[in-house]
Amino acid sequence: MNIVTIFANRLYAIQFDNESENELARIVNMWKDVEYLFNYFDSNREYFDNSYWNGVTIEYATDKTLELLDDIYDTLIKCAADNTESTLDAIFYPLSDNLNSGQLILGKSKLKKAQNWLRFYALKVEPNVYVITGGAIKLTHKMQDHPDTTQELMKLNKCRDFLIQNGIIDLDGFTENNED
Amino acid sequence: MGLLKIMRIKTMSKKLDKINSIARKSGNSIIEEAKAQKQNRQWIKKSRKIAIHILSEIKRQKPNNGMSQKKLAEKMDVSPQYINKIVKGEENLTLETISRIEEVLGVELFNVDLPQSNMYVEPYKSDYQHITSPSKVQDGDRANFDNIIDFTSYNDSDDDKPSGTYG
Repeated sequence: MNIVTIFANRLYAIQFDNESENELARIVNMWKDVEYLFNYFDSNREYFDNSYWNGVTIEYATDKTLELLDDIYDTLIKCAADNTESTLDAIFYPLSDNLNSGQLILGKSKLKKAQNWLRFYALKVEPNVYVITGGAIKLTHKMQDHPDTTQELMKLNKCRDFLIQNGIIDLDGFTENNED
Repeated sequence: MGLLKIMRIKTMSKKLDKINSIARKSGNSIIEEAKAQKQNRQWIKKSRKIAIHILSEIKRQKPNNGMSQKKLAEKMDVSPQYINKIVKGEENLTLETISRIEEVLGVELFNVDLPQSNMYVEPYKSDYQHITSPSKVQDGDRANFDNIIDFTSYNDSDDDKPSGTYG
């Protein structure tokens, strides 16, 4: 796998060996495809039958997802222009709140909006520096409850190992560095 | 500045140096795409909704008449690749194409309502009004005969015919 620079010294994205694009570009291209979204929600209708989704239609879910993607575009444009500190820290937050563990804090990007089911997953290298490892449409509360988000967990761990092997992040100094 | 903080800063810079040493440049294509999308957002939104409607209608009709993107293309006499491009939701469709899709699928994809005028048009009041209704005639009322035009005295060849539209 490789690392691709999105915003220098701030945002990076993994590009897996079998992919022609980095994870940020690959996922955005997926989410902007109306046919892909429509078929995705159609094939995952079983997950709509709960109180969170409240029986939304495939058409509504597709349309809403495209609106959320527009927010992502706007966020990317804003981040590109705003080079101040904490820009990315404001939009990524911990996947797990177990700050005292030896585990690396794995972040996710979540726009503060009701019913936002789009997720980018990333590893935090240091304050305001992130490496995107993937993304998914989150249909369930727990990542483990859907195969797509389960795969994203596996990708996060695989990318973490890669960053450790390349000396970009390390477990020993992590807790100290994140006591800021 | 404490020793711990200096060590922390050195460690943090080292990590950034390391990642920059192995990272490849992306060319910022995603940002250019985001900007282009924002610039064209209004029509892209409409294109997306039309795409959703087409996909939904194909899905609905398929059990009854075997409708598919390929069949839609055949009936419209266009390539399946073009229909596939439309349902991706980023095609700047012409009114003609939209109309042809509507005709084949039998649905309305795009509706433009005529604006409702808010201008108040006062009802026409003729000079006759105060003398046409006997109940309104009061003693002393006299018609203003100077303004009454007697149409019965005109014919088409009369040069003194008043101008105007003759219905």
